[in-house]
Amino acid sequence: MTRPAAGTERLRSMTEPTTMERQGAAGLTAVLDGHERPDAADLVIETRGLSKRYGGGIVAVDDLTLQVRRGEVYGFLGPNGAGKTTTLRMLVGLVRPTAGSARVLGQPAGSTEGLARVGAMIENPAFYPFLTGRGNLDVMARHAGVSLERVEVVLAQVGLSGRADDRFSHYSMGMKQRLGLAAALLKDPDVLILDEPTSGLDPEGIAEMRDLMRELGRGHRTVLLSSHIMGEVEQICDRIGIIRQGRLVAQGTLDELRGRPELRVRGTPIARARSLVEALPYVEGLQARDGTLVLATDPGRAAEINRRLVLGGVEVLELTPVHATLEEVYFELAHAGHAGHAGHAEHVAGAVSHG
Amino acid sequence: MDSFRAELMLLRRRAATWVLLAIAILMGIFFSYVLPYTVYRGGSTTSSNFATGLSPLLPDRLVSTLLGGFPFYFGMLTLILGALAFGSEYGWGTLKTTLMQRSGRTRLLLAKLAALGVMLVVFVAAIFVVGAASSVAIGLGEGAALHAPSLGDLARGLASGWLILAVWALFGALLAILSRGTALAIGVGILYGLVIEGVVAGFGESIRLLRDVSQVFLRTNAYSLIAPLQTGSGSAAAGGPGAFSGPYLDASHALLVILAYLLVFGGLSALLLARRDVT
Repeated sequence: MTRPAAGTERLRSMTEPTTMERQGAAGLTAVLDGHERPDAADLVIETRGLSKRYGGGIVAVDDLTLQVRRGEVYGFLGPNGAGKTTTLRMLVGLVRPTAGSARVLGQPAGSTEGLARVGAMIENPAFYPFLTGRGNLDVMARHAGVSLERVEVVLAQVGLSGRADDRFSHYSMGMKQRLGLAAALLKDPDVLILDEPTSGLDPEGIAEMRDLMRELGRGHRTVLLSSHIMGEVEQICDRIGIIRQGRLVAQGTLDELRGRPELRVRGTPIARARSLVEALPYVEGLQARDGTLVLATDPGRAAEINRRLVLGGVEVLELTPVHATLEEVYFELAHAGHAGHAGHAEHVAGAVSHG
Repeated sequence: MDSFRAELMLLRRRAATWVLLAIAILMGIFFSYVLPYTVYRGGSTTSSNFATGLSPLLPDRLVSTLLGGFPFYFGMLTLILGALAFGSEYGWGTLKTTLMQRSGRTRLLLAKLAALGVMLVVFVAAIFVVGAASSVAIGLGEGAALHAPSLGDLARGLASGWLILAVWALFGALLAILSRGTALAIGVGILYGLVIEGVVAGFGESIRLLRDVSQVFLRTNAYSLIAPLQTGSGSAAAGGPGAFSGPYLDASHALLVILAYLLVFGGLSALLLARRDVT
């Protein structure tokens, strides 16, 4: 008998779209996330059925329902063209949705009131090339209606004070990214929306930017971070949403997305090993593949399972806890085929259960 | 007000603004004073149309002499200024950065237009100051009596000049917003200003069809607006650059048409900026 692994079921439940569609927006968080719908006051960013269609039938964002909670660092993952940037553009009012709605801090996305507490850096940082870094921030501070004293504060915050009087056109990519971040911080925002802030940076720059973002995400501030760099998201984010072809296909904490860890067992004779572990009450699922058994169970029981197998006459060759990495989950979810969500969920479930 | 200050700062700090102003001043001096003075001194012209005396070059005719360039080359230069002020925001991607602050699209447009308006005051004032200096220099050199133009004429001249530059600048801004950039806006704007308006201005008096349609064209109305302030032959009437053969319309009609253009250009710019996605 082959029971589905618990982790598999978990992931399946997180990605089952037909249930999502049945339950609508209210059920989406619970289904995707495994949590009850958070208190509305805790929702800092909320989209409902958000869609953006361009001429020629191009669907950039399709019925996206996303919820970001107060104080969390939310990673927004997806391949190029998945709709991440379009979504972020809609959240700051640069692009108007063709359907659905988006609210940021309780205000319609892009409204003057909402933007007053939102800082954003979408795509490459864009500034006036003939102005210095400080001059650019002066301009942005005036537009934002904040004191010019904030300029010095944010320059120091992103470590750009020493080069603030250089022209923007003379900045390196890393300095431009820092200036973009500084502009986003001018309003000391409650919500920070960053679109691939480490794009184009060298490894040292990525590490510095990551430290900076981690620092910024501390405390009360909510950060929505779009990226396709797994390490960045894994290290910084409290919760993660994965978008594919404009739709949210998974959302949850890192652990929730990775599912429960499993145990991989290799031993001879494999048939004897299988019959022994199937009988164990705490093994919730089992799959066999290429002479290996993957057990859905608490890896803490590895020693006990090993003893049972050895006492049962099985020569144990390998007993390894297996935990899907975010990268594995991402690739399965973000690059799954086009056969639809149900089939996609099955595909993911199978892939993860095989470790 | 803060957004206005930011936009004014951008125009002030941008080299292109001052390059355009320098070109305007050089063109103004050359076509309004240097060239006519050379002709006056040497009589080196084969065209009786461009014959000029000393009187248009003296300070009392400052307004009349300088205003001839506003519907044409000064207008073209401010069309470029308007296109750059708005179009570069798309090219550099700074429109996106600015809108992510909290200024709002209409507010940003108004701030930009207000800053552009202030910069046009600087343009008009600079052209008149340098023109005045040129005319005084010529008057002193020729030992002619120097009389200042009347304050009324000067004020009306400055206001008319500003209005003409404003409508061209706003046309440039609209083209930039429409094309989301500078290159096409400047290309189309200059093509329109030189070729279309030029044909209408050049042949409006002699071809009936053009005479009828010219009543709604910018240059015809701009020349008609300044006509009451022009005495004798300016460069336009004299066959110089931007030659205008008429028909001249009633000045109040011309003022209304120009104000209508300002409203239409401004309204369309606001509509496009408000409704279109910024990507």
